[in-house]
Amino acid sequence: MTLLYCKGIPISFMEIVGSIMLWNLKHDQFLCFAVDDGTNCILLLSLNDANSSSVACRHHHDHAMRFASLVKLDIVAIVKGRLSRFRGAVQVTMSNVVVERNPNAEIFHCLNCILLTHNYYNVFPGWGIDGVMGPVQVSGRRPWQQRE
Amino acid sequence: MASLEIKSGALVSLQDLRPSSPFFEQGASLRITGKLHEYSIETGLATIIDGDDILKVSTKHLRDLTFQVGSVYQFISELLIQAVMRYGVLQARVGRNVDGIDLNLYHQSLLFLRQFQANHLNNPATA
Repeated sequence: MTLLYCKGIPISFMEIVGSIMLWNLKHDQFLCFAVDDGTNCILLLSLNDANSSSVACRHHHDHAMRFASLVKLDIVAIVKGRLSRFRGAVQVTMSNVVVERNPNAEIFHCLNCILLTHNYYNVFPGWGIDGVMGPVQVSGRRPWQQRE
Repeated sequence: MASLEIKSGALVSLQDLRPSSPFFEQGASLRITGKLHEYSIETGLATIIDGDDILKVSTKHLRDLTFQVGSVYQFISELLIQAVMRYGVLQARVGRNVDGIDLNLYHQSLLFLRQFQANHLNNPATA
């Protein structure tokens, strides 16, 4: 089920980089986090049933246990997942979690999201950012990315 | 599951937290970044600076966070305004050491994000 559209383009999968605000693990039910990236706070859910007869559900359980061991309050994590809806609220069903230690990672991700909106979704075709960041290349190295 | 009641901490710089600023309101959830200037274990108050702006942060809700003067920290907190003296103290609920952060890039991205959000709010049909 597609939940969101951006300029007519459906969005079903997303990646968030932010601080963990909430950590709630119920064994054999679910694991959920709330992640705050500075613009919003969203709930991330991983279903978790070790005793299910379904191989896929037990696989989800193994992932949830790995996520639970990785994540704790206050850290910054990169979380990927599929958008879903629960009681009217948008949430994300996790497929992967990575702990991020680079203090600039949130800044880079924020800027890349804005670029994605501008260059791919073409939300503001006439909107210029030259005054802020200078000309932005559609491909190649971004001005703020560190030299490798 | 219960509904999500945790508020997102709005990204602000220290100079945005002057009494004349629209961010300066009781109970606002804010995310701030600055260098630790001094810290008192007795009172649990930390003073952070960013350029010429100084701000006090109450750290009594934080645990497992070591404070080192001169390091850069980021807090997600609520603003508690003293009624009489009209200054604000931030009650931190999450804190993190962000040594190595590029503060110039941080401020630039903040400006960029504000501009983006302002435009986005003028185009509600896009999302």
